[in-house]
Order: sequence, then structure tokens, then C-alpha cells
Amino acid sequence: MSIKKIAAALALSAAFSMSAAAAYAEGIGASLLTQQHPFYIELANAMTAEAKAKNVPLEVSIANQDLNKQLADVEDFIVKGVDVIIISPVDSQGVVAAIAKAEKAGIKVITVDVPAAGVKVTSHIGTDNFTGGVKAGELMAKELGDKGNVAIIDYPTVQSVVNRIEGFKKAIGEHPDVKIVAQQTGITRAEALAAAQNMLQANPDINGIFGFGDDAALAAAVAVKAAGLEEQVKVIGFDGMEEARKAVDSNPVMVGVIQQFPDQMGKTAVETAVKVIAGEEVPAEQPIVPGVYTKK
Amino acid sequence: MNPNTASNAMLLKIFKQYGGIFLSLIILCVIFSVMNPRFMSVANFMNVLQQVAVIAIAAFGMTWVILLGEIDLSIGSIIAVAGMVGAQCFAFGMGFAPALVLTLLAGAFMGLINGVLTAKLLLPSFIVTVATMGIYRGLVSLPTNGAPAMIMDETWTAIGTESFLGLPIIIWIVVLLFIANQILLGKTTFGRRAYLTGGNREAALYSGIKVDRLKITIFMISGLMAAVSGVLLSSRLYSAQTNAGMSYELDAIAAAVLGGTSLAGGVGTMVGTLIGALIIGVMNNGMNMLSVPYFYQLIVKGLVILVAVWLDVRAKRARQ
Repeated sequence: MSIKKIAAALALSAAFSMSAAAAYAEGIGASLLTQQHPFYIELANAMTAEAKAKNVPLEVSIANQDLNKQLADVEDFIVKGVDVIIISPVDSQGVVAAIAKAEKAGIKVITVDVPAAGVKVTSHIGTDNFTGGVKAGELMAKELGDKGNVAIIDYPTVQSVVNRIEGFKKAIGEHPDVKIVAQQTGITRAEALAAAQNMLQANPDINGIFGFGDDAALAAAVAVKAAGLEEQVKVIGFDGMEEARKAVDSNPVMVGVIQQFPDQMGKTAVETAVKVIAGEEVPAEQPIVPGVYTKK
Repeated sequence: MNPNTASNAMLLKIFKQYGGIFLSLIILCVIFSVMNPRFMSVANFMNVLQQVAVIAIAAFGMTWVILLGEIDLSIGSIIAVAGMVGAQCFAFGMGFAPALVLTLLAGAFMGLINGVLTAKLLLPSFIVTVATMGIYRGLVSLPTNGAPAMIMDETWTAIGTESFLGLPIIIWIVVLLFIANQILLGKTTFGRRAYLTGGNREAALYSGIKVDRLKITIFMISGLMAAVSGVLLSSRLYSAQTNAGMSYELDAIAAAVLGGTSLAGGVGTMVGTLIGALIIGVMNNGMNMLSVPYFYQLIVKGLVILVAVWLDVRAKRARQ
């Protein structure tokens, strides 16, 4: 019996819907990976500010690192009828479902930070990781006086990190007296610490360590200090969040960090969305070149 | 009786049994509709049902477990393992049918482990499933070292994305499993035994019910339902994520308890759980439609759960 009752209630509510007027929520819907990381807080703030400046409605949903929530957020944007959807994907592969749904509904999608794998979006805005890696490599060579042994802490399953490492290796390759003697994986700060310690153990003649992210670099700096090699080893990181920038200012081991610009990314994303709404052409790739942060 | 009074009588009956909770659902729908007319549309209703499917099906399984006075905290991890088993089957070149069967079997097997540890070793299910929650979550990361696994099988991904007779397949599955669980719980000896055992274990033992076997079977149902949720989730996402279903067990418990299932055991229905799951889905979707900032959504969700359960408890007391 109760099944029938539910069915009746559902039918009733469906009937209501027919009479409901369509209220269009025009503007931009943004689905962001998280709001618990300084990078994404800066990204969201820049987007909100730019939307205000351009006088375009912007709604932000937070996926909280859950791909299923990201998909639901995008579905809700589709029902609401936003004009453009900006996504910072939880995962490059899993986000394809959400993008396919939006495109099927005729809504253009812009990705920020993490690119989507195997699907074309209207535009992608992200850090130019390769160029960032090159800058890190050049800084390393300069700091070592064009001579020495270098180690790398990497994260080989993430494409953006792979690009950083490739850029770093290319820059180092142009300095024949600087050699890469070790490369290990250290995803979390704890793993990176172990990786740095192992590499320092195996190669006591290391002069520089490049960490793929802030966490890896900060861990490497700790390992250098623990090994008492502060005079010998220089560390360079990538991301440039506040903690790492402070470390560069205060810790002589941390000689520099490649700084991403989430504020530029957020601003560019909203600008691009406004252009898409106006029917203008936008570039498919919009790399944001990172900067180099060294001691003030 | 003309159809009009018949449907009135029907509505009245729903109110009597599910009073507070059904009222809460309607109030929520009315509030959201007034504030955004787009909320009350067929498209959005389909939307909510699809979004809530994963939680609803897991909550059907959870209802059985809670009815017995037990708890299953491992279902979020089972959801993730199920997706990964499916993805790995395809990676080994299996077809859709064997992959699906293996995935569901894996879910039932993980439930079997929970059940045996609880029933035979007499460990509290809370601790058993806290432990297996960690074990299953660890297992899911082994094949890919934590990375997600893409699922390319078209039949598998069709489950979460295609429609059948105008209704998304995912909704058909929820409806079918709802009916199956409803019949099993409401119309069979097995269901009556579950109620009896949950209500009074001693009495159940004396009346000759094999409580251990019942308990193990019910944990297997819970694992199986979680595996179905895992299939739906991975098909919606075209991939198996190692962090899939994280903390979904809490939503499933909330859905069951919102629907009037007593954590002490012996009391609960599938209709109630479905309404409870709908409340959670409607809240998530409705607040998105109203552009409520995410952190406020968390606060409001918690408050609504408290108020809804309070309304329900109050309505039940008034009836007694």
C-alpha cells in the first residue's frame, strides 16, 4: 500500500511543477574542489571579486573533495539554468561525467587548475607547470653556482607534477656541471620527509633538493636540518602558499619557491566566462605563468 | 468511496504512520518551491532522485542492520571497494555481466565478514565495522595505489547516465530495490523474525529463531546494498574513486533514523527510510538551488535532522 501512497505523492508534486513559472538563474555557476586550502580560498575570493566588478551573478558550490558532490552541484547548476559552468575538478578523469552532462544541456564548461582528461572544454585555465619547473631549475643552478648534485621529490601519478619535473630537468640539463643524482616519491609531508632523509643518506654530497610542492619542500628542509647539512643543501619548492613563503623568508635552507597565482586564475576564469556568455571566442588553453619567490 | 476520499484517506494514513517526518519533507519542499520556482520541476525531481539513489539504497541495507539493534559503519568503504572491483574486472577484460556479479558478490562477502565477526565472535558491531571500514578503505587503494580507475564499459556507465521508458535507470533501480526490501521486510517470515529479534533477542532465541544466521544474512544484505550503491556511484562518475562514499554511512544512518528506525532495534520501515533519504536529498539540492554557501549548508542540514527527528518523536508520543 505504502508504495502507492508515495507514488501518489510523487505524482502530485509532479503536477505542481507544470504550473511553476520558469525563473532563470542567469550567470555563472562555479564548482570548486574544496574550501579548506589557501589556494582555493584565494581562487574563490578572486572569482567573487571579479564577478562583482563585471556585475555578473556568480554562484559557488564546494565539492569538498567528493566527486559525487561535484556532479550533483553541476546537475543543480544545469537545472537552475546558469549560462556557463566553471569547474575546478576533484579528479581529471572522474569529472568527465559532469562535463558531459553540462555540454549535453548546452552549457559551456571552463576548467580551472586541474584539466579534464579526454574531453574538450571551452577553455582551461591553469598554471603553466612546465615553465614553472624550468624557472625552478634555473633558480637551482644559479643558487648552486652552476655546479653540484641535485635531488627531486616527485608525485608521478599527477600530470601537473610530471610537467613540473620535466621543466626542472630541462633547465638543469642546460647546466652540464649540475647533476640529478636522486629522485623519489613523497606525496604527503610525512612521506616526503622520509624520501628526503633516504636520499640524503644515500647521497651525502647532495647540494640541492627540488620538492614538487610546498609540502615536499618544507619536509626536505626539515630533513636537511635534521642531518645537519644546512650549510651544504638548498631547497626549492613549488606552489608558494603563505607557509612556504614565510619559510623562504626565515629559513636559509629554503632559498626559493615557485609561486602559483590562484588570484589570476580566478580572475581569468570569470573574465573568460563573461566572454563566453557574450558569444565571443576564447582560447582553449590559458596558461598562467608562475612567478619565483625568493627571500625579501 | 470515490477516488477523492480514497486518496484523502490514504494521505491521512501516511500522516498517521510517518506523521512528523512526512510533514518535514513537505514543509521543506514548499519552502524551497516558494523561494525558487525551479525547485518544483520534473527535471529537478529526477535530479534529486538520482542524487539520493546512492544514499537511499545504502540506507535500505542500513535499516535492516539497525532493526536488529546493530550498526554497519563499513558501508561507505564497501561502496568504494565495489566500484574498484568493477573497474578491475574490466581492466582484466571481463564483460559486463561477470563484472557485475563479482562486484555484488564482493559486497555480500564483505558483509559476511562483518556478520560472522559480530555473530560468531560476539564482538560489538560498532567496533567490528569501525575496523572493517579501515580495512576495506585500505584494500580499495591497493590496485591503483590510491589513484582513481577509469571505467569505459558502456553498459556499466549506462546504468548511471541512461534512461529506460523515460525514467533514468538509476531511479528504476531505487524503486525496484525499495519494493524488494519492503516486501522482504513487511511480508515474509524473514522480515518478521528480524523485527522480533531486534525487539527482544531473548524471546527470539526461545521461539527458535537462529539469531546468528539471521544476523549474518542481514549484514550480507547491508553489504550487497552498499555494493549496488557502489555500482551506481561508479557508473555516474565513469570511474572508481578510492575516496568514494567517504562518510556515506553517516548519511545512511541519518536517513534510516529520520525515517523512524529506532537505534535500539525492533522498529523501522523501508517507507520511512526512503522518506528520510529524500529529506537529505531535497535539503542538499534545495540549498544548492537557493545558493546557500557550503558551510551554512552543513549547519542547516544538522539542524534540520534534529528538528525532523524531534517532530517525529513528538508525534509518536502524542499517539501513545
